[in-house]
Amino acid sequence: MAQINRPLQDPAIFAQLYEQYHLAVFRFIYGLTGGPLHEVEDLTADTFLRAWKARGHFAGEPRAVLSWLLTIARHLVIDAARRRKSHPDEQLCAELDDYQQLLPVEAADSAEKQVIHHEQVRALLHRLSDLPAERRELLVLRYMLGWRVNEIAAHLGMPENTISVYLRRSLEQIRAHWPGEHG
Amino acid sequence: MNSDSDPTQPGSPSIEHIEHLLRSIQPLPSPRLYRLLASAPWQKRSVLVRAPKWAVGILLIGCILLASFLISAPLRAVARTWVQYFLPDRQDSMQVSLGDLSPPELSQVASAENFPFSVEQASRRAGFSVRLPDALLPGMSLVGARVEDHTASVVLLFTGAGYNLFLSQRPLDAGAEYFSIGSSAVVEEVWIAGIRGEYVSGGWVKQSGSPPTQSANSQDLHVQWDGLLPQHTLRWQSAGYAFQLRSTGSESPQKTDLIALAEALIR
Repeated sequence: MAQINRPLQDPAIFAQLYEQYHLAVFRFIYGLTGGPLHEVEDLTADTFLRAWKARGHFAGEPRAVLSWLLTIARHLVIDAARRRKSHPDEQLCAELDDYQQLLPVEAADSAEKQVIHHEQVRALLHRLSDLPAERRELLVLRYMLGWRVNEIAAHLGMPENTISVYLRRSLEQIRAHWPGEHG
Repeated sequence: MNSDSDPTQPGSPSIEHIEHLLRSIQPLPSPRLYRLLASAPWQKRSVLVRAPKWAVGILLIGCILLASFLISAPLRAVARTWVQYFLPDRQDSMQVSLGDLSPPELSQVASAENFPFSVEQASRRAGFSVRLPDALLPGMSLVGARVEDHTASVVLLFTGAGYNLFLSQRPLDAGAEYFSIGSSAVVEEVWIAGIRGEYVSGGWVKQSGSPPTQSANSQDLHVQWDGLLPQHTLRWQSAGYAFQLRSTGSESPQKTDLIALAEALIR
């Protein structure tokens, strides 16, 4: 991948980075918040608008740009969560409504398999929301964005071993609290 | 991905299945997000504008020809636009000129006579070792290879039930190429054995009700980006080469299969 060799002030470079990273930022925010869709999109747009305003402060390479964007996104998510604290039920309902329309449909899967899969993902989203935000972020980076453990460690400034342990514990916690037959 | 637990059984899934579920959460934004940012400060100047017009034109023509023949069998697709990046246009429709297209380019259709070489012959002619996936999809077979001297590319044509699949590879130092997509096209970031790639569904099609217009030196076409066109493209770079997999046809392999093929190529 080409290295950034010009300042981010160049709109063309910024546009290229937007094209390259907007899905990752969108999914990161979705993973942290669980929806609703319009809020995830607003936060994604805000992330890039804020990055545009702050672009003069950035110097680095492509991977560092994404890390920088995700840091901005995380702050926006935290701010939004504070504002929304008085309406938690509203968020959950929106999350469940949104999920079906967000998932790409795999044509090869049977309708029954898709329903089961969606139900399991829905249960997983509930379990994710039970986790502390820091643990949720690790899972999102590792699985939804496909980062390696060493990349997460560099991004968060934590030891790789700690990341691995937290990931494992988070997965075990999700499993331990998985809904039963009627869940 | 490992999903060794039975998802139809109640109770806790395995850790591996939870990991699989987490990886499967790949939501896509709605068009609203793109509308929100359509007038963002960095969008005021499209990167496409900076590319030489003749290059953009030729590449667009490749996409259009590919799309135009999709409904006929066998699919007569043109795989002319082997590029490094997807470049979204500022809109979903445009007018392009066929005037600059040479006869050899027009003949690049997905038929065996246009892919006359073996992989070994193509490697010798191109001057680099052409890579083949170490596994193909069920029912998929290699038709042949073509060497495009002007882009230093080798294109392999594969065929399967209801689709054609083009695999192109070229050295990165052969220069940049561009792949134009509509403004509403969604470029998906994907990972291929740890390597970043880009995936797009859809293509340019001739606008219905707008026949080609003839002028003194060119033939113009009005084209429209169709995100539902059964055409799927995966692009990535590895070890100094640019690769592209493009499937066309009603049964064309989509993201998961293209990534699996790409991984079989990287191995």
